[in-house]
Amino acid sequence: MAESSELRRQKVQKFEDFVEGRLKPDLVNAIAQRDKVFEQQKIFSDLKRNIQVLEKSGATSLRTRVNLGSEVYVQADVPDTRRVFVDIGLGFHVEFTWSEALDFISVREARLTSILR
Amino acid sequence: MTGGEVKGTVTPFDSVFSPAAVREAAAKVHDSIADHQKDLARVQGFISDNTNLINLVRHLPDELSHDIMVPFGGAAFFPGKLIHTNEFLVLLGEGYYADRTARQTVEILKRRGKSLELQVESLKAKMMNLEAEAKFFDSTATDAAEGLVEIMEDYVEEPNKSKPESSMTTGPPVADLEKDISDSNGASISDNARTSTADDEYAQIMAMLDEREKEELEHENASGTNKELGEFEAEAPAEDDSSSDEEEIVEAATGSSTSPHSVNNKGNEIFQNKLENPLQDSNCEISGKPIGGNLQQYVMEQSQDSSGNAGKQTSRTGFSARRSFTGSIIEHDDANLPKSSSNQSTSSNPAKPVSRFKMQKGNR
Repeated sequence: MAESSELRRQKVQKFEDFVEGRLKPDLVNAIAQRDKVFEQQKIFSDLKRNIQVLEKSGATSLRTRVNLGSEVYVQADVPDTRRVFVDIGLGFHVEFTWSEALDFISVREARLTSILR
Repeated sequence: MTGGEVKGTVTPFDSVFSPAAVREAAAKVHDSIADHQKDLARVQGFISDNTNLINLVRHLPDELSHDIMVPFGGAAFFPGKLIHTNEFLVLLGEGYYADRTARQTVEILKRRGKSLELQVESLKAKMMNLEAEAKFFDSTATDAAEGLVEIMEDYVEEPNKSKPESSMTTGPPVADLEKDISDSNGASISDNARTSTADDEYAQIMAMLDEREKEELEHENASGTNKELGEFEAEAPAEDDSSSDEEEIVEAATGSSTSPHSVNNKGNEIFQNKLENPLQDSNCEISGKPIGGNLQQYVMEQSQDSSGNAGKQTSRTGFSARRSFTGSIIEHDDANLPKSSSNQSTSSNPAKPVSRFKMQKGNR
């Protein structure tokens, strides 16, 4: 009887170790990756919103402030806002018009949600 | 000391500092060193960014406008131009911004850089402390592993005036204890003995001082300064505890006011021996401050005292106020005062110590 309880204890110990050593780090990694995907989703949804605002206002030029680093901003002027360069991954930026950009963004969002699944 | 008697305690290093614990402590210190290293790298990254930014801000106003890609969110750009190239919006902290010109922005960034460098300095200092700690732990760990032993022993006072050599006789009985004794441990014993010897002789010298006071009062106006100092030298050997200290006292006694370095002795003995001088006609200045600049000033202040009595009293109160004296002592002779007030030791002074030394030797 004592032997079997001893064996059981050992098994429990093994399982615990397995959980600690293998599963928990895996969980941490998975959470980190999920957060990254969330971030990407947020970026693209913000972009979509901004482009829609631009479209609605019909503004062709833009005055903005550019961060040079360490929170030092300089005024910048965008004369023609109709052409956007969007990062499509692998270090490429493609020149889009507004509507093209919006299409691309929706495709991208769909892909991201499928990753999450 | 009766031979063969076991006195004191012997503690192996292992029990006081268990090797495992010491190694753990060493590991912890190493970890914190690594952390500080990371912080240091981070702050140095900030500094390099700052310098790059300063260069950029400096060169931006060279052109009216620059063609750039203006970021739009995190994943899109607009082609555009940088305009108003001399106007910069700088974050001052806590949500406050300032519109500044290029030159003013450079000033701000330079100040930021300075504070970053201060951080680097403090981090480096901390790291050095930690490294010293780590070294200590490592050496302790190896010592403990080797089976080093710490030996503590109480010093038993000798009835007669003892030289440090006599206190060394505690060496043989201690050696009877059959353990490994390192050189450092042997030295620590003699150091303990020496300091307790010093304390005892401190008390003895105090008693002798009182006797000397009375004698000197009688001799006060009898002869010149030199002779008095000569008497002082003659008496001094009688109460010497270490011949090396005595020689240093002699050298210090003579016109060493100009070179505090030669008087750099630490110990109560010297202080008391010196104290006999103020009781003479000559003004003896004793400075308790080891700082060179203050030393001279203090010395000059003392030299204002014209009466020997006042000098005696100040030095006496000073003496009682500074029981554990570890500074340097300056002594002035009235006759030599104008000479010594200039910061060059005159040629006559080096000659004196030699002659007194010989006289002292002759007296022995």
